[in-house]
Amino acid sequence: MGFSYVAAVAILLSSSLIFFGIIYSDYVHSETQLSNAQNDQNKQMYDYINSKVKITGYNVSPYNSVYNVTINMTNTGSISLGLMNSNLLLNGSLVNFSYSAEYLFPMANGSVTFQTGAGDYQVEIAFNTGYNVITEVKV
Amino acid sequence: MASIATSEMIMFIATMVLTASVVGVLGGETLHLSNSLTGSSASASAQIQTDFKIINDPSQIPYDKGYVFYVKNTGQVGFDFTNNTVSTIINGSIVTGSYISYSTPVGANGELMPSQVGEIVVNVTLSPGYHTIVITLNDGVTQQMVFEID
Repeated sequence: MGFSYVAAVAILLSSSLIFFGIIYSDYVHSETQLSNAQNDQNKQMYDYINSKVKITGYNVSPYNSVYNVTINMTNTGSISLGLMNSNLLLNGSLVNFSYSAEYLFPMANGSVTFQTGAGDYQVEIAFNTGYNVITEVKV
Repeated sequence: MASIATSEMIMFIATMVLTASVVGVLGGETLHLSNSLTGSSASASAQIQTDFKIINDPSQIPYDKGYVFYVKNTGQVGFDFTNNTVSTIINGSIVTGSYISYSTPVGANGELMPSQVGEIVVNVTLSPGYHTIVITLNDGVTQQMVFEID
């Protein structure tokens, strides 16, 4: 009886230790994963809040039967914006455009160029952070 | 003497069987708890990292076989963008079936990756005036926009 009791207690204690180790390891992993996700979300919010762009003007130049419209802008925010991951809406519809540089650094000037026919347009530029600016152009 | 040894042996085996049962139950519960912990933290972190924006100009919603809404993935992870994973509610009524279609960039296979833009085409009749669209992903992340139809 004495040996059986000791053996049982030893098995229960050692297995409990192992099980606790498994749970603790998973807990630490989960906590790290959630913490990283929270950090990413905070960075995302920070980037969105600190995105700011000022449209400084636009140029129109004829190109074959249409016009090239270049919208000039300055990044007045404190984070870099990715023009290559941005989108341009012309009167509400997505259109293709080219950009002066892949990134628009803080206080730097940049531009986007698109082609269209004559008319009045409302142009929206949606940046990679979710921030957007809207301007009007007359072609 | 032999009967004492036999009864000791029976007692030992019984104790071991009982201990093994307890360890088995504990082990099973531990694995169950471990899997739940891992699964819930994975889904919670994915939800935290998921974000999107409706980038339409609210005053100019394009119409092409339906009203077109643009959804831009502004989060850190991709998300499924199909009829089965996204819910769209206009003016409080959910739009389903043939009245709505979701499209992703070519090669995206129904998943909208970070920075990509997907399209929702809603083929319903909307009267001139203000309307509300609510888009909800399968992990519960929601965005809402008030727009105007001329």
